[in-house]
Amino acid sequence: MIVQAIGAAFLQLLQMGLVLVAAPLLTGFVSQVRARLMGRQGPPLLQPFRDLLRLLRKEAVVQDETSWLFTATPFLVFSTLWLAAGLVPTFASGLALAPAADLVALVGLLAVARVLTMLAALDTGAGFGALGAVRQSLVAVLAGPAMLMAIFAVAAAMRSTSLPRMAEFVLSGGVEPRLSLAIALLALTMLALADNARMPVDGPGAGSATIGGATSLEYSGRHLALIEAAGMLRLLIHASLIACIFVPWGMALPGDGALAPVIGLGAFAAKMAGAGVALALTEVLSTRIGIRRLGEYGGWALMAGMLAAIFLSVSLGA
Amino acid sequence: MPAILTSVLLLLVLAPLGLARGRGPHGAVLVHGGAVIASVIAAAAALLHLGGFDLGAAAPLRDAALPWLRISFGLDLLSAYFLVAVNLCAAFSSISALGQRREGSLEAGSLAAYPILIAGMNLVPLARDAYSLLLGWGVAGVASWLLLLSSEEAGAGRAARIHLILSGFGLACLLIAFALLGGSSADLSFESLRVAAAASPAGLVPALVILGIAGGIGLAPLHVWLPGILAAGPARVSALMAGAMPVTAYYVLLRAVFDLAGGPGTGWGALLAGIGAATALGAALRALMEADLPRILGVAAVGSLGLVAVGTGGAAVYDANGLPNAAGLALSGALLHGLNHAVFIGLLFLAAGAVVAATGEMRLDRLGGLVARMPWTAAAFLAGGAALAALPPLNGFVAAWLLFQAFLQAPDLADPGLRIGALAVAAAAILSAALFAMVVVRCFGLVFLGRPRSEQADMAADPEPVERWSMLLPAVLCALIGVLPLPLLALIEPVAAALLGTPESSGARAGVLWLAPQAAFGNAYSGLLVLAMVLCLAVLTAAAVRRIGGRAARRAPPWAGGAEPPIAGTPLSASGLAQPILRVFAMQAFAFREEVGRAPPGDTGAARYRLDCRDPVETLFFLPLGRRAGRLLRRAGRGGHLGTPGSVGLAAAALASLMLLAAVLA
Amino acid sequence: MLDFIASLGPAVPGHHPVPRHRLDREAWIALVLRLGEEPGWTLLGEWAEQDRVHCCLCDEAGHVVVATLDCPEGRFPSLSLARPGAVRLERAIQDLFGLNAEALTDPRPWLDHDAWPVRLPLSAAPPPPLGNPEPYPFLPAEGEGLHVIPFGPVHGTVAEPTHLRLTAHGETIVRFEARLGFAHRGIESLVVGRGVEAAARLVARLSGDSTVAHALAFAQAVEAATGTAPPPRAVWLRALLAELERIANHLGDFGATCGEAGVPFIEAECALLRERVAVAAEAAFGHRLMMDRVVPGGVAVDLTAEAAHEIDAALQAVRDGFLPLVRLYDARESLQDRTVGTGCVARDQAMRFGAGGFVGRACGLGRDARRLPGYAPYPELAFEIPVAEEGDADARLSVRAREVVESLSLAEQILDRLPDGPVLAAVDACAGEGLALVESFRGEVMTWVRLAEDGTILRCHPRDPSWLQWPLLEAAIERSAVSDLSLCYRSFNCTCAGHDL
Repeated sequence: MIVQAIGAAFLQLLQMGLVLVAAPLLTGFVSQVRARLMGRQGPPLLQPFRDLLRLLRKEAVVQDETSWLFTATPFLVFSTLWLAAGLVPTFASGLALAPAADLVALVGLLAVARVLTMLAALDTGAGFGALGAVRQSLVAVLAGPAMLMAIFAVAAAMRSTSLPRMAEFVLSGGVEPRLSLAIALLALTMLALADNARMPVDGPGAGSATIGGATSLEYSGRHLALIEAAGMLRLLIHASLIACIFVPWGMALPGDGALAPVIGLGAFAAKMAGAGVALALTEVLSTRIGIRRLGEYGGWALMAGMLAAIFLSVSLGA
Repeated sequence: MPAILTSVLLLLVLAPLGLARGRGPHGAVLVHGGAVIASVIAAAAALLHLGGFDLGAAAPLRDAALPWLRISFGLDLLSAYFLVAVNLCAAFSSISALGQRREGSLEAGSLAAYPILIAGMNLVPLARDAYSLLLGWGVAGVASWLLLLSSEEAGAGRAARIHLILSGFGLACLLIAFALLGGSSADLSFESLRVAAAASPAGLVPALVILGIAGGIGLAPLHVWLPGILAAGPARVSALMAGAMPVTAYYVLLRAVFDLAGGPGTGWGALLAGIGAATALGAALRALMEADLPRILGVAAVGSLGLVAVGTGGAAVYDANGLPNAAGLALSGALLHGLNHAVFIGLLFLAAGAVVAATGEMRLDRLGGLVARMPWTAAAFLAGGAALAALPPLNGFVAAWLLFQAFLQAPDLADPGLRIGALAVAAAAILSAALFAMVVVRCFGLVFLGRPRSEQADMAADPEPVERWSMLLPAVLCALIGVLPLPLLALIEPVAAALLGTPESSGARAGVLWLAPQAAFGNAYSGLLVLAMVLCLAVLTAAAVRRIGGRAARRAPPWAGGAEPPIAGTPLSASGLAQPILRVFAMQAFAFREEVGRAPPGDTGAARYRLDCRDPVETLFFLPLGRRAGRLLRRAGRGGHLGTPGSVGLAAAALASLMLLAAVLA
Repeated sequence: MLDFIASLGPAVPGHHPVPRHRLDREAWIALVLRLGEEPGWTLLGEWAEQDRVHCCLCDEAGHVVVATLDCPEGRFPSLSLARPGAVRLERAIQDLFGLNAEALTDPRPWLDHDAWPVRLPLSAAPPPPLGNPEPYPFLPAEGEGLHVIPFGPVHGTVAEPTHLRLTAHGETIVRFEARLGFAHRGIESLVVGRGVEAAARLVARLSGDSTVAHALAFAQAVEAATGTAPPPRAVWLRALLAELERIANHLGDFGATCGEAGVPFIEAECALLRERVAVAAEAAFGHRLMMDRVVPGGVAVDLTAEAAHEIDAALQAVRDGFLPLVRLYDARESLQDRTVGTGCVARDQAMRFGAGGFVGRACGLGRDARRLPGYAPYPELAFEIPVAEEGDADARLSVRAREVVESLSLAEQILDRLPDGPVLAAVDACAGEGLALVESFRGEVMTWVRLAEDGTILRCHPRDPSWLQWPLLEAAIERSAVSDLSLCYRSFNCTCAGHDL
C-alpha cells in the first residue's frame, strides 16, 4: 500500500517534469516539421527552449495602470495548465493526483486559464488586447461546451470521466470501435486546433486576424515566457488527452513492473511525434478560416460532440 | 425550532420598531442589527438541526398562533436546509445594510418592510400546512413590494407593480394547486395533503406549482420581468430578492411537488428540466446584451436558477425511471446550487451595490479601473463571478460537476427520447455555463479592469469595513464550499434522499478530500487539492522564474503604436465585447441586427452604427399584452409613490384579501 | 476634352509631350463644373508650385492634358467637390505650399504633423513650426458602444509607418481611417536645385518596391522636357526592368495575400519565386531591386548575353512554378471563401477616385498607361490587360495573377527582340517642362518636372498610384470585418513611403 503510494507519487513527479520538457519539444517539433513540409529548413528542435530562456532573462515591462491581475495571470495560467498537463496520463496511468480532477475538472481548469487570459487582456485597457479577448471569448464559449459534449460521449462509452480509468478501460478491450467515438475524436481534434490557435482557425503570422497573439500583446519578458510556455502546455494537454483516450497502448499500468514506465515513455514520444506530424500536415494543407466563420467552426465542433453523444446514447440503449 | 421561531418573532417586532424609529439616527442600525442577529440565529439553528442536533421539540407546533386557520409550524431536513440558505443570504445583506452609512436616512416604510421580508421568507420553510406556507409567501411578496415602492431607483414603481402582480399570480396558482392536492378535504396540513395526494394522482398540480413559482424564479417565459425587478431595488433588497426569494420559491416547488405530491413524474420533470435549460441559455445570452450592472446580475440570477431547475427536473425524471442513484446526484447538485445561488448571487448584488454607491454609475461603459480603487469589492466580485461561471475551485463548479455526473447516466434511461432530451438539456446547460463565464469576464473586465471611463469611477473607493465584510464573508464561503464540499454534501444527501424516498446510498464518500460519489462510477474531484496544487505550482514557478530572470519589472505607459498617447474614444465597450458571441448565438433567436451607415470615401460626415436585439418572448407575447396591461396598471397604480401610512394600509389590505381568498377557496 | 481645355485657356509652350493650358480663375471653375458632368475624365494628379496649381486630366481615349491656374493670392478653387481623389492631393498642397484650396471638402492637415523643422517647406518663405500640435481630428463615427482600435504608426502588423484607426463594434467595422505622412522625407524639396542624375537617385528611392517605375517616370519626364531621345536598346531594356519589377512584386503580394488568407504554403512558394527573380536581377543588373539602373537618357547597365540567359531561365522558372500555384488558388474553395466578397470596391467609387492599376482593373476600369496613352516599346509588343468586374480581393488577386503571365510574356518578347546599340544618351542641360505616365505594378506613376536653364530641377512632382488608392482601401475595409482587415490591406498593398513623399 505504502509502496504503491510512493510509486504513484514518484510517477506523478516524473510526469510533472516530463510535461515541462515535452511541451516545448512538441511545439518545436511541429514548427520543424511544418517548415520542412513547406520546403524550408525550419528552426532547430530546441528553439522553443532558447526562446523561453531568452524571454525569461529579459526585462519585463509592465504597462501602467494594470492591476495585480495582469502580473499574476501568467503565473496562474502557467501553473493551472501545468497541473492540467500533469493530470493527463502520458506514459503511466497510476498517478497520485489522478483522483483530484477528472476530465470534467480538466475542462474546468482549461476554462479558468482562458478566463484569466481574457481578464488580463481587458486589464490592459488597450483596444487590440480587448479585440483579442473578444475573439478568445468566442473560442472559449464554443470550445468548452463542445469538449464537454465530446467527453460526454466518450465517458458514457467508458463509464467513467476519470482519465486513468478510461485508458485502462480501452486497454482492457472494453470498447469496440464505434462511430460515435470517431465523431468524438473529430470533435476533440477540431477543438484542439481552435483552442491552441492552430491553423484552420488561426496560426502564426495571422496579423490582425490573430486570436492568441492579441491577448498577450502587452506581455514581455518573463511574463511573456510564461504565457508562451502555457500555450505550449495547452497544446501538449490536447495532444496527450487524445492519445490517452483513443490510443492508450504502451502506457504503463499500475503493477506492470519497473520497465513498463520506460516503455511508456517511448510510446508517449512516438504518439506525440505522430500528433506533431499530423498537426503540421493539417497546418500546411488547410486554409485559415476567417473569424466570421469561427462561429460556424465552433458550431460544427459542438454539433460533432452532440452527435457523438446522441449516437452513443442511442446505441448503448439498443 | 423554537430558536428559529423566536428569531422570526424578533424580526416581526423589529418592523414596528423600524416604523417608529425610522426617522431617528439609530433606527436603521437597530433594524438591520436585529435582522443580522435573527438571521444568524436562525441559520445556526437550522444548520444544527440539519446536522442532527435538535434543539427543542421536533414536533410541529400545531395551532400555535391562529387556531381558526390551523396554522402550524415545524422543521424537517428540507426546511432546515432552505432556512440555512435563506438566512445566510439575509445575514449578509443585513450586515451590508448595517455597514452602509450613506447620506439620507432610509424611509421608515422600507425599514419596517425589510425585517418582514426576511420573516416571510423564514415562514415559508417553517410552515407545516398550506395556509402558513402561503401566508409566508404572501408576507414576503407584499414586503418586497413595499421595499420596491420605497426605492428611489428609476423605474422602481413599475417594478413594484409588476412584482406584486407576479406574486399575486404565483399565489393564486399555488392556492389552486394546494386546493387540488387536498381534494375535498378542508384540512390543508402537510400530513393530510400527503395522504390525499397518495390517494389520487397528482394531475395538474406540478404544472400549477411550476407556473406558480415561475414568476418568482424567473423561469421562461416569465423571465422577462425578474431582472428589471431585481435591478430596481437598493442593493440589500435586491440581494435578498435575487438570492433568497427564488430559493424560497424553489423550496415551495420541492415541498409541494416532491414531498407532498410524491414527485412530478417523467413528463413534468422533463418539462421542468427543459424550461430550466432554456431559461439558463436565454438568460446567459440576455446577460450579454444588457449594459447595466444590476440588470446583468438580475439576468444572471435567473440563469443560475435555471440550472437548479435543470437538476431538479433531471432528478424527477431519473427517479421516475428507476435510476435512484442518478436522481440523488442530480438533486444533490440542484440543492447545492440552490444554496450556492443564495450565497453568490447575494454577494454579487451586494458588490454591485457597493460599486453603484461608490460611483453613482451602473452602466458598464461608465465604469472601469475599480480593481485598484476598490480592491476588496473586486476580489469579492471575482469570487462570486467565478462561482456563477462554474469555474473550479469555487462552489459553482462542485454543483456543475455533480449535475454533469448525473447527466452522464442519461444513456441508462430506457426511453430513447428521454436520452436525447437529456443530452439536449445537458448541452444547453453546459453552453449556458460557458456563456456565463463570458458574462462574468465582460462584467468584471469592464467594471473593474482597464482604465476608469468616467470621473466618478476614477474617484471610487472601497466601502467601510462592515460592508466590506458583508461581501468578503460570502466570498470566503463560496471558496470554502468549493474546496471542501463534502461536509455540506453530507448534510444535503439525507435531504435529497428523504425527498426522493430513496435510502441514503446515493452518495457514499471516499475520504474527506475527494468528492467521489459512488453513484458517479467513482469519478472524483477535489477542489482543495486542485487549489493547493495550483497555488504550489504558481509559487514554485515564481521562485524558479525569479532565480532565472530576476524580479525587476519596468512600468511603462501603454504603447499606443507610436501615435500621440491619449487615443480618443473608448478602447472597448460593453456591447462590442459581446457582439461576436451574440452574432453567433443570437442572430435568429434575439433578432440581432446591425445597421452600419458608412460614409463613402472622401465624405467627412459621421459613420453611424445601430444595434437592435430583442427577447423573442417579449416581442411575440408580452409586448402586445404589456401595452394593454400597462394602461390598466397606470390606472391602478396612480399615485405611484405612497407615503408610509398609505403603504402599510395597502399592505394590510392586500394581505387580508389574500388570506380571505385562501379561506374561501379552502 | 482636349478641345474643352484648349477653349479655356492658351497652351503654354515648352511642355512635353502633352499640352499644358494656362487657365484663369473663371476657366478653372468652369473646369471644376465640367468635371462634375464628365465622370469619364480622370484626375491623374494635382500638384503645385509656389504660385500656381496644376492638374493633369485624362479622358477615356487616353488623351492627357495639364491645366494650370496661377494663384498669386495664394488660393485656388478646390477640385474636391468634383473629384474626391483631389482631397488628399490638395491637403498636401496646403501643407507644403501654403496655397489655400477653397471649398475643400476636408480641410484637415495631411502630410504635415507639425513635427517638421519648418512649416510650408516648399513655399517662398517657410514659417517656423507652431510647436504645439493639436490632436489630429479623426473622422467621426456615431453609435452605441463603438470602440476604437489604433494600429501603428509603429506596430508589428503594419509594415510601413502609418496610423490606422479602426472604429468598430465587436467585429463589425464602422469606420476605418488611415493617417499617412509619417514617412515624409521631403523628396520634393531635396530634388530642387540638383542635377537630373542626382535627382534621379532621390526619386528612385521614393518607394523601394516600385523604384524602376519611379525612376523610369522621372527619366521620361526629364527626357520629354529636354527633348532627349533615349537609344532604342535602352527603351527596351527599361521595359524589361519594369516587367521584372512587376513580376517580382505581384508574386510577393500574391503570396502574402494568400498567406494572409491562410495558406502559408502558397506564400512560401511565391517567396521562393520572387527570390528567383531578384537573384536574376542582381546577376544581370547588379541590384536586386534594380535601383538606379534607369537613368535619364537611358539605362545605367547593359544586358550581357549570359545575363539575358539568366533572366530567361528565371522567367521560365516563374512560369513553371507560378501557374500551379494559381491553379491551387482557384481550386481552394476555403481560400476563395476568404477572398471572394472581401474588400469590395465599387466601380463608380474607383472611377471617382481615378484609381489605376490592379485596384481599378479589378473593378472593371481597364486603364493602363502602357496602352493608353502608351509609351515605347509597348505599342510594338503584344499583351493584354486583364480586367475583372467584382472589385473584391479575389478579383484583385486574379488580375494580378494574370498580369504576371502577361508580364512574363512581355519580358520574353523583349528578350527576343532586344535591339542592339548604345544604352545611354546624353541629356542636354536646358529648360523645359515634362510629364510622364509610367505603369508601375500598382498603377500609373505620374511624374512632372520643370527644369531650369542649367538643367537643374526647379520642381519635380512624382505622384505614386497609392495616392488614389488609399481612400478606396478605407472604403473597402469598412465593408468587411475586423478579421479581414489585414487581408484587405495586403490585397491593396498601398505604399506609405511612395505616398508620403
